[in-house]
Amino acid sequence: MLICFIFTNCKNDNKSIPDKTGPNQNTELKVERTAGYNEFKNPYFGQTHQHTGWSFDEAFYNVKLGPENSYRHARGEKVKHPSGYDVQLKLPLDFMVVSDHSEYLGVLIQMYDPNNPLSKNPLAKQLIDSGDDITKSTKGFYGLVTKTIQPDGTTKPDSTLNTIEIRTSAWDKYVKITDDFYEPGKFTTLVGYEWSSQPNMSNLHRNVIFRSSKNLPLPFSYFDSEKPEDLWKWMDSQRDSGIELLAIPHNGNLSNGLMFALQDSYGNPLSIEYAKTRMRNEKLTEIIQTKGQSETHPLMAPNDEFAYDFELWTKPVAGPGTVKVLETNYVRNAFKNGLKLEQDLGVNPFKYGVVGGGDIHTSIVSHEEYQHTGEHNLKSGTPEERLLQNLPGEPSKIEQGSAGLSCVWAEENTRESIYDAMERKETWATSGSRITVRIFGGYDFGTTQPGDSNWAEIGYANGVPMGADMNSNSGNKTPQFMVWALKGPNSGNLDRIQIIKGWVDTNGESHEKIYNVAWSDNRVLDAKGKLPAVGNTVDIPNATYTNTIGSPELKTVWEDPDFDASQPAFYYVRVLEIPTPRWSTYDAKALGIDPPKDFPATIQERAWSSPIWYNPN
Amino acid sequence: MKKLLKDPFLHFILIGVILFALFRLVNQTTETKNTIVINDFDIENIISTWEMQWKRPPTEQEIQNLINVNLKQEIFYQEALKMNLDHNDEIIKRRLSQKMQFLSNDIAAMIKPTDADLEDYIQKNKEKYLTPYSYSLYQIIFSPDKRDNNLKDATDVLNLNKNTSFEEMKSKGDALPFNYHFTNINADELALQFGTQFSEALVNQELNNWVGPIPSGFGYHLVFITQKTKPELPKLEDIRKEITRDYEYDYQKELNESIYQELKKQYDIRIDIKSPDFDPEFVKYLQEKLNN
Repeated sequence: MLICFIFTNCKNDNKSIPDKTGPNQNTELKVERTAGYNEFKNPYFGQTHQHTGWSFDEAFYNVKLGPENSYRHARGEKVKHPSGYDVQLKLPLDFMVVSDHSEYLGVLIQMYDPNNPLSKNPLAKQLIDSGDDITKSTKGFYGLVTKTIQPDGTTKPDSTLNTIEIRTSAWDKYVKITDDFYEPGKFTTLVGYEWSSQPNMSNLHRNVIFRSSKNLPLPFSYFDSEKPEDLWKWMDSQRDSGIELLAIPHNGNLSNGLMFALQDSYGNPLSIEYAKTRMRNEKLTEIIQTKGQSETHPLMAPNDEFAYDFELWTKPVAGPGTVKVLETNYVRNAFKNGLKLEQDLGVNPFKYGVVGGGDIHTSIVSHEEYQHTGEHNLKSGTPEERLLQNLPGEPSKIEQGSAGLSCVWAEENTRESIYDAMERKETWATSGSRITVRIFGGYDFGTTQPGDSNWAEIGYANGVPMGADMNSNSGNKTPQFMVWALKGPNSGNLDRIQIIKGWVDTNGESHEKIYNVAWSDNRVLDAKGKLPAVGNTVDIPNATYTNTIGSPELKTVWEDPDFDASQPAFYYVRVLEIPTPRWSTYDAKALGIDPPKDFPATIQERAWSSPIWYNPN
Repeated sequence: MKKLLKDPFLHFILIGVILFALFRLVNQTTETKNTIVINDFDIENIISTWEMQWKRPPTEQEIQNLINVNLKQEIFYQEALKMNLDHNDEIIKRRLSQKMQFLSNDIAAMIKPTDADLEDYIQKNKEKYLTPYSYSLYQIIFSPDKRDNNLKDATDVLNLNKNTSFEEMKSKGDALPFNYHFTNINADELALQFGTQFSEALVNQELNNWVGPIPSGFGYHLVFITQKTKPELPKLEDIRKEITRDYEYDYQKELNESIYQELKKQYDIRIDIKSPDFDPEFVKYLQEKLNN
């Protein structure tokens, strides 16, 4: 049996196939394909949330490295970390979005250049004087933030740093660098930025990503409005003028309940117009990133054993205090509320696909536990800074995670193909490792098994992939799901595949249930469907593990035993790896100390697929 | 001569000489009579800095105040220079040394590489631009997940199947979602599937025989390589964009360093540490290191 279904080496005859999903794809046009083109799609691993010294908050921490350093690092070159040491990825990424904050984008870093007029700005002195002094840098950062963000949550930018000329020149330069590093078929760079609204320290941030780099507008920033409705209005107007773009909200966990709130920014109940506008502009959300996971919280999902002790972030996005743990912070709850709202409004306002993010500010991707290089320079750039430096009033460092990854199923490694995969939500997220996940939902896959040579072809022909909708079948048949996962070549084996289902019953109540559907080591489910733990091979003092437990690959065809054709539902996949050392354990080993107490020394890395939604009709 | 004209260090020195000459020219009078001239350039500078901050031109009164402020600053500055107060000021040091570095960046930006420079750059960085090895091969995997001793099983299969057909060999390994047969796949793509260890191990394997076991992230492999293409250096035309981008990036970095090294040669660096806290051997070592 010639197995040829997942990777780029599949040779295709470059036949022209109609593109069913990509917007603005004129099938009449003869499109040139890159060598890796595969009509049944390849897995691509990338980063959709990367900051550099071009972000105002990182420029203060003496980071003079920009987007160029990020692109070089992501494509596999050896580069400098701002703290001065070399870093290199073991396996390069396929695509990259540098999404620096749009507020003062690329402005502060110019102050380091004595020939630049900005070096005469009063702020420049503070920036340059602070050097590697963490206390002075932090003071400078909060100085600018408090001057800029008003007590009512609106902003008053420093006008000397925000002129059209300054903004245009920095943005144009960024777009040019991004174009310079785009190599179709090998490494894709997409233009993006972060809209950094955080009224009253409630995080509403969105990353905005463009399909093309041509004729782009200047970013719409927090300075223009703190309300997502205004961002969407601007995005709509851009779309009307032919610019394709989408937004990815992140860190619902730090939004104090606002990210997936059941009211709009003005306190009104959600309307059909709101739901449509939101879903026209926002396709994906980050389920994990350095500032914690936003899938769920033990308080919301007490029966989810894997919600405990996994990358829970408890501090606000910046500054002292704690963040409110509310249902409307979390993606799984948003999915459930979305089903309920759809019954009332006719449109689901929270029909998100998922990606993983970095939000690392050093220009280094940092998704590997064994090579985590910190979220911010000076604050967490070295093992000493991460585990030993005590900065009162600053966000936790032990709670920060390594970056997550954004992964897509796309025909080829080009801007268009990767953007279109995001647009149709054919995406999955990982907590940083290179787990590949695939799911198809349908009613008639015959004898096809996931992993068969033609399973993707059958999956697309007779079903739908992750991120898509399926409708009820004429005979009210139970849907089947072909599910498959493969570990990364340098990572831990897989523990299990779970399917997480959410649904709304006839009383309008929402529910969730977690099914273990495939697992390693011939374990047996107990009567309640619980699976014994996979075990743990981690040697904590030496920060090592072995792949003597778990499986490299897991797959199954699963049918929902509790299916009710009349109930709207979503199904998403969660894949767990066996326990491996967390970054803090590698750091502790490097420093010759014990890993911090009261925090897990091991991590079960994981992947989440975008849901498939079942709609009764 | 052409070579000389392109020597960046020479540019650096020339620019220094010109700046110094200009400075002398402009400041001729100040040296003898303590004159301070405020000219068009100065006043424009004062006004534009004001405008940057306040978004409007200054009034006449404000201009007068600004000149006064600047004059006071200039006089104190001149006197401070005479008293050598600028020496050993950490911030002034940092700023001036940054200025020197940016000077070299400007020179780097001025000099556009010729094709010969780029060809030379490719030759010097061969490793980086060589295309990866490319292979056509058959492979089977022995997964630890499916066997008690996958290494032994792989070795046994290898020893017993020197002449087994490809068709028959296919079923000897375990079913994992990878191709049995790859045509012209390069080492980078192989690494993304099986890990770097596997792709690197292929380089020294003999062709047209089953070989192994070769470890990967998924188990032990037996491999039959039918074709191996060695790395080649791409033609400049095919990678011009990438090369130009990398050349300019490296050039700027190196220029900074080489100018530093050139300047450093003109200094005699002596370590004069007599504190008993330091091992004399260490001091000697420092002395040697710093002069290289």
